[in-house]
Amino acid sequence: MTLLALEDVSFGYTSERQTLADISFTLPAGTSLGLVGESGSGKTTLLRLLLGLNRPSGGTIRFNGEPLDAGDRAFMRRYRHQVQAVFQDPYSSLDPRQTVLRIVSEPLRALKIAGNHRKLVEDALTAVGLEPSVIGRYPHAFSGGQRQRIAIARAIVARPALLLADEAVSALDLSTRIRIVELFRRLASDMTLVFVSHDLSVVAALCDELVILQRGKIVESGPTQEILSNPQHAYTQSLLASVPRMPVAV
Amino acid sequence: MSLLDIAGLTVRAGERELVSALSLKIEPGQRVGLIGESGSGKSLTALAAIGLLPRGLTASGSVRLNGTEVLGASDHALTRLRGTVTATVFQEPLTALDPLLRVGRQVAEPLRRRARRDGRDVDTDREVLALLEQVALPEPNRIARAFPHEISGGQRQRVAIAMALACRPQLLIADEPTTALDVTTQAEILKLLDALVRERNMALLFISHDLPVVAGIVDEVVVLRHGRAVETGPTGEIFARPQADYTRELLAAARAFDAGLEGKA
Repeated sequence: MTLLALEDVSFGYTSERQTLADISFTLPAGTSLGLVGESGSGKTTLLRLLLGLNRPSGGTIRFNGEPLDAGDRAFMRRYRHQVQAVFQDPYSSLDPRQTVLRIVSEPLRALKIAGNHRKLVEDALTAVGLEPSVIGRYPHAFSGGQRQRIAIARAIVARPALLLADEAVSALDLSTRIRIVELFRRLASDMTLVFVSHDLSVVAALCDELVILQRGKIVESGPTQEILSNPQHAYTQSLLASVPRMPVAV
Repeated sequence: MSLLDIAGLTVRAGERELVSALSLKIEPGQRVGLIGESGSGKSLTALAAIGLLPRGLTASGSVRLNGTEVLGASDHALTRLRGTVTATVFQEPLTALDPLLRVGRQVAEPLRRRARRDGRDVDTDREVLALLEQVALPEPNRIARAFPHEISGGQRQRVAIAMALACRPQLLIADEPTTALDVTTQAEILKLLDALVRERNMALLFISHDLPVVAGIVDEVVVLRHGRAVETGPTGEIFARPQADYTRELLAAARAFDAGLEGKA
C-alpha cells in the first residue's frame, strides 16, 4: 500500500527561481526512505512541503491517496495525527521550561488523544531506551543524545504512521550517532520513515530506498543497495566517492 | 627544537578541568591529528597553542612555539609568533572572514605584514592573485573583488587557507577545517590542504572529530576524551591496533558506517 505519493511536485520561494522541480516518488507503507542532498539541494524545502508548512507551487502530494492540502483543515487535523517530525538540534527542539512528561505528551494534548497520557509517555520513553523515571526532569539534565531520544519519544508517542527526520543525527557525536541510528532502525521496522540527510553513510545504514537530490531535482532514486553498489548518475558517483573512508586495517 | 611543544597543559574553568596534563610535540614537517568528540578539549588545546584561550579560563603547564613560551606571554610577543611560526584555519569560514572587506583586501593584510617583517616591498595585487590561484580558486580576479557572502562556503575556506599561507607559517593549525562543508567540497579542500602542506613542507596540527578524515591526512594521532589523551601514536598503528576501549569504540562506530556504504550493513 502506498502511504505517500509525490507527483511532479515543484516549489519556488520566488516566482523566478524553482527550489524544487519535477519531484516524483512513491513510498509504500513500512518503507524507510533517505532523502540525500548537499546544501542547496532542496531537501529541507521538500520536508517542509511534506509537513504542510509550505504548499507546492505545482504537482500533488498524496497521503493515503488523499491530496495534501494545507488549507483543508479537516484533512490537516487527520494528517497531523499520522505524521510527526524529529529535527537536527536536540538543544533547540525541547522547551527548557517543560518537564520530560510535558514535552513528550504534547502531541497527545494537541491531538486530543484520550487515554492515560503518563502511561503512554512512559511506554514511549522505554521504546527509545530511556528510563520511565526521567519524566519529572528538565531538558538541561540530559546530554545531546538523550535529548534526541526525548525528541524521538515525543514523535512516536501518538503512534504516527509516518516519521519525518531532518538531519536528526547530524549534530551528534560519532559514538552517540551510531546508537541513535540503531534506534531509528528499530523504530522503522514498524513505521514509515523519511530521513533527510546530507550524510550518505547514515542513510546507508538506515534506509531501504534512496532519493538523491541535486539543485532541486532528483538525479537518482532506487533501492539503497543498488545505488550504493552501482550509482548511475555522475553526481551520485562523486557523492559516494567523496565520503571519507576508514583505512583498511592491516 | 620542536615547532610546537605542549607539556603538561591543564586548562581550567574555575574548579573544572577541561584539559588535563596534555603533552604533545610537533617537529618541523610533521603532521599530527587531534581526535575527539564534543567536550574533549581539542579546540581548547588549539587555542592554547596560539595563546587565544578565552578569558576566564586558566592554563598551566607549558606551551612552546618554536622555543618561545606562549602561556602568559604578552600580546606583543604572541603577535610575533602568529604568522611567522604558525597560522590557523578555523571551522567556519563565514565568521573567520570580515564580511565588510573584499576578499582581496583580507588576503593582502597578512601579505603586507609579512613584507614589513621581512623589510621588503611587496606587489600585493599580484601576490594576492597568486595566492588565490595556489588555493585553486577559479577566476582569482573576480574572487578578489568579491565580498565573503558572494562566494560559496568552499571558496571561503579556500580564501581562509590562502590567508594562512600568506604568512608562510612553519606550522599550520587546522581546527575542523572541513566540518561545515558539503562532502564533495570537503574532499576537494582535504586534497588541497594535503598538497599545500607537502609542497611547503609545513607541519600540520589537524583537529577533527571525523576519524576517516584524520586518518587520511596525518601521520600521528592523539585521541582525546574529557580533556585527557587516552591514546597517542602513529595513525596506522592506532587505527589498526587501538589499545584504549574508547578508541576501539570510536573506530568500531566509524567502521560500521563505512560497512553500510559498502552494502554490508
